[in-house]
Amino acid sequence: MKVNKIKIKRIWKKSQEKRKNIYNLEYEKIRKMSEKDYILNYTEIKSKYKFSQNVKYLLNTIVISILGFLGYNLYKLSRTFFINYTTFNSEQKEIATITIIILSGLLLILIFSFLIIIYLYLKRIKNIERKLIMYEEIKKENTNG
Amino acid sequence: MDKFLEILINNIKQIIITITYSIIVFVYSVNLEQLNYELLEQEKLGNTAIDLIQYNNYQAIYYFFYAIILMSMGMGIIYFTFYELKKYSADIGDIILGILITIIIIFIIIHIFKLITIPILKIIFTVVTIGLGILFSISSNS
Repeated sequence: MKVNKIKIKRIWKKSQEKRKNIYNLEYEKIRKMSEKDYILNYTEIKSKYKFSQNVKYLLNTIVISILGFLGYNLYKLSRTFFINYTTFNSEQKEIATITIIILSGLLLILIFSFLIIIYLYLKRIKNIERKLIMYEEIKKENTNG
Repeated sequence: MDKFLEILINNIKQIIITITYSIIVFVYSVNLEQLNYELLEQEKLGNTAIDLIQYNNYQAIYYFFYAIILMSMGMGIIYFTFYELKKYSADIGDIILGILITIIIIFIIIHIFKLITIPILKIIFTVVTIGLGILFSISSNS
């Protein structure tokens, strides 16, 4: 049992170290690349970065348009509901209230999901940017050395 | 054995998240099945969609929103699993575990969707369609 505990600790430490050193490992990997591979990968990362920058604006535009469209229609419905509230009978009041609540809830969930998607996408762009910086640093090192 | 232990420890985060998620979904499913049974019994008695949605202090609406949140969380876990795989793992064991977790989560999402469809989603669609009809007809008249 004791041996198992030690083994688990050892594997855990190893795994954590690997996670901490992931950037250094990546550095090493890039350094060991042949010139041809380096140029190929560098070009790929650079084009990926430019592409994701453009997609970022497209994604933001799509999200704002969808949410704007849905939000505006919901606002119009809610306005109608509040203006005509007194003219409804009790069953209509109940149905209209439930409809507005469900639609508002769905819109809220949609807003949160879109915010999470945008956040994850921005994080992805940051990662690509970090990789690009890595490549450029190594390029500088090589030209200086 | 060592290899298996290594895979488990390397992917401990995903495993804990998946188990917690499965337990939450299990508790939710048991309660939802009970509610579904009660709603179907009420439907047999001849209650309308609005009566069913009002049943037990609007429980159907709460369960509907929980279902959406749980399904989104499931998709989030699938994303997280793939993200971790892409970033930290190059081992075949990690990849197999990642695929296994993804399959489990997909099954859970399908299970939630199947449970929520009848009768809760049906009732909600009915009420929302009637509500939208009322509101749109008034807004186009005024």
